[in-house]
Amino acid sequence: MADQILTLAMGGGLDRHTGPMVDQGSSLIDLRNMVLGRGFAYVRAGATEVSTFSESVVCAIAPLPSERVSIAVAYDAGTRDVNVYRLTAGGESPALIGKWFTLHAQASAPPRVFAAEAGGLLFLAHDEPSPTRRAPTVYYNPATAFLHTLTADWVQGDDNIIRFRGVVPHLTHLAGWGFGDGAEHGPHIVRHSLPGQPSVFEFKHYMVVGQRGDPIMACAQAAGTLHVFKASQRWEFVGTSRLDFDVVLVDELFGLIASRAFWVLQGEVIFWSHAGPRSCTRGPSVDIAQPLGLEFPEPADLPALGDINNAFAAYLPTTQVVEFNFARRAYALSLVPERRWGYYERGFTPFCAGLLFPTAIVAGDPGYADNVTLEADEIAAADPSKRDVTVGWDNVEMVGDEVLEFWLLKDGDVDWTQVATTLVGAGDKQSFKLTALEPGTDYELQIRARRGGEYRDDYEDADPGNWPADSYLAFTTQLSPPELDAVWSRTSSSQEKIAVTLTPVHAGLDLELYRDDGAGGAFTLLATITAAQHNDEPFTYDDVSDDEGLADPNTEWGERTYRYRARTIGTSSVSDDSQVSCWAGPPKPTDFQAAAVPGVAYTFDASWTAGDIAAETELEEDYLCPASFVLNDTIAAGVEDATGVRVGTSFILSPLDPVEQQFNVRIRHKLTSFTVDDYSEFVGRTLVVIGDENEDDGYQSCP
Amino acid sequence: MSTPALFYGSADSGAILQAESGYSDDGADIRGLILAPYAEPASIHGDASFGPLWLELVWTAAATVKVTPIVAVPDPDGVMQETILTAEALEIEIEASATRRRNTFKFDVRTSLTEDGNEIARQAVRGQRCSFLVELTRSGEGLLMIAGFALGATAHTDQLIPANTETGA
Repeated sequence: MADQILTLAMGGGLDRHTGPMVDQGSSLIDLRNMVLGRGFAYVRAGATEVSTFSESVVCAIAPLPSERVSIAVAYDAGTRDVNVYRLTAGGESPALIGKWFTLHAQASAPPRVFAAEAGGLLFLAHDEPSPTRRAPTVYYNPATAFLHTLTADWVQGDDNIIRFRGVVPHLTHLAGWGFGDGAEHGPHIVRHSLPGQPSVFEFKHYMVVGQRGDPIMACAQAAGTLHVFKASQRWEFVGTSRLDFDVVLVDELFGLIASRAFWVLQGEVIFWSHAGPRSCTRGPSVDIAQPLGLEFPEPADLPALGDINNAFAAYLPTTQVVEFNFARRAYALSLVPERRWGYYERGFTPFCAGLLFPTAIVAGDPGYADNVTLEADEIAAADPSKRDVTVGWDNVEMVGDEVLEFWLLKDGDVDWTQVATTLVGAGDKQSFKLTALEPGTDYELQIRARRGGEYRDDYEDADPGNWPADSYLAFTTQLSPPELDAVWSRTSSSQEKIAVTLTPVHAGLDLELYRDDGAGGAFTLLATITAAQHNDEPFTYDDVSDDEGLADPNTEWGERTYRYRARTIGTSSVSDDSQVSCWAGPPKPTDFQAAAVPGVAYTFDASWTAGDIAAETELEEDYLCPASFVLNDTIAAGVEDATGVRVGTSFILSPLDPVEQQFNVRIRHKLTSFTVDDYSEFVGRTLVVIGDENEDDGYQSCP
Repeated sequence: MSTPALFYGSADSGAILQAESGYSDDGADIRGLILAPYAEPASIHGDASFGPLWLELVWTAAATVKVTPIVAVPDPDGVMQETILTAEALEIEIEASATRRRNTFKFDVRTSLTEDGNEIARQAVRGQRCSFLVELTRSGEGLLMIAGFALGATAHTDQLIPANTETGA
């Protein structure tokens, strides 16, 4: 039995001065993923995914409370495109507003972004130290639902574009920092917009803060002033308007370690300096690093860990914790019941954070979608075997904060499925792309609007089949036919074949192959290739002359053009046909040209590109009227150049009286295999006029 | 204005995550960890036996609670040597509860005395200092809190004092 019981109350937090406890320890050596408060230590809450993007990183989240929506900025590491999305107030249902910019190749990636609402507009600034790599400052105007570039006529060059490093509301102004005039860099400059006009910046409305060239890291409005942070200083604005603005140095030693490593809470700025966490309202800052555990990277060690530039602060309102995030690590300052430090290790890597207002609901029924139509049906961008279908509709009685639900019932299914949501648009008309639908399939669509968890009365039924017909659409997705290719070959002295390759576009569907009789007649079904046979891979069907019951392929089957058609057989429909034609013989020569040899009567230089370099080439002329071709010459194979081009072949036409005539010449290949000659189509039929320099006896037409 | 909530933008994937929501980091377990300060009941030159440990929990969530003793004794040079007694760790499972429950769990931490690899006896954790690593992992929605813990200790007179330390004989 123990002689004594040593108790330890919770709530002590991390203590860098913790030493041996004799009998009344009050602080902890290590504390991870725990929150302290009111005599308890409890495991912190987690994080739950509410929306996803096709891009790689979400680099900014900001509320737009005046519109009861949110804005997110997402970065695609592959294309380096930075796109802006509109979301619900609770961060759901992202709807693309548009592309903001493509990140410069040498700019910091992912991009850091400052977002600030002023005058009902949401401004976005690219926090890139290098002005030449910095994106234009833009603002989202919910009235137009577009991104607008911030410009001023005094900005030199570059289409008058302003490129702030960050923006923040200050009194009735919008303050932007880090931009000169376009020609001269201004990392030390803070500019103020006209009061009440956050998108209008006059040239002279700026302040130089501290030493020129020493960049401003960030600005924060708190305690009635604008705090201007540099890396090792903090300045404060005094005055209430541009007429009496001044800026004074209030902290000569402590600045901001990273541009987003601060949080404003009830007039207090809690920030991380090069020496660790500090706090300020007005005047010099105070150290709030005590007590802070030693079991983790020391504040002074953090820069060496490489997580500094993207460090950011955030505030957890439920637990009243300010956290400083360094990739997956976070120092967490519990504010109640007294300030204590903890340490978090996360299962994911946050890049940014934003306080949103997810339950901002207005009264009244949501609107509804009307006149739903099918606008487009195309091969799915992400999966060519599927279909992307765009539907359009009219927004009726929408307020602007509704979420639209898309419900589909596929042919053969019993239950409807909600497949997508989006935020209602600003306009009367809206469209949305439903992705990756099954091809050739009947679908029924219903669109329902909700605000929070509220629906219109006639949309409250759990079965979308009972909702009004206004928002209903039945449609059948299209099918794409397979791609076709056909190649002729001779396989014996009595047999030829055309290998027809069908490449399926859609997975798991049968294909049908048809062929005509080679004389422009009707098509007949050659074969049905089942999904199991082609297995979603290119499938080659050998159309062999023997199999078709053609007794003599050299006459019946031979030299003619056959047309093939193929189509895809879907659940509810069949596709259009794809078609390919194939000459049942060797490929023809191309680029046939003949040019008269000056001064040498009836003599021409000919050139062509061989269709088959193993084939001979026959040249015919039609000196016998009318158009009765006779063989002029047979040119042996094997003298083409590496690209199959045959040049330098001259021929002499047969002269007749009268000497001035017109000749037609044509060429074709003759390919001999298995002792059988196969011929290509004729090409060229070049009209050659032979002139007589001595006489003009007039043209002699054919009798 | 309604109640605000914090949302993270993820650098791992294009996703927005709501903070202070759920019991995991988007599927990854959250392991709460507390390392208590060292108890040293016999002062800096003393020796003590430690145990049991009482842990008072408040919970509604199903969870796993693991306690690992850490003991420290000075080596002959007087340098404190810390040993994490991983093999002596004790683990309990608590079930989810619809209502908030509060209970004090006793962890009877002891070390094994072995001979030729066979345990022949168990004895109290002994050393100059002792601490405990407490790990808490929820496996479902709900609350999991530590309201306090206490450590039993018996100070001994047969002190483990290195002979070559300044205070040694």
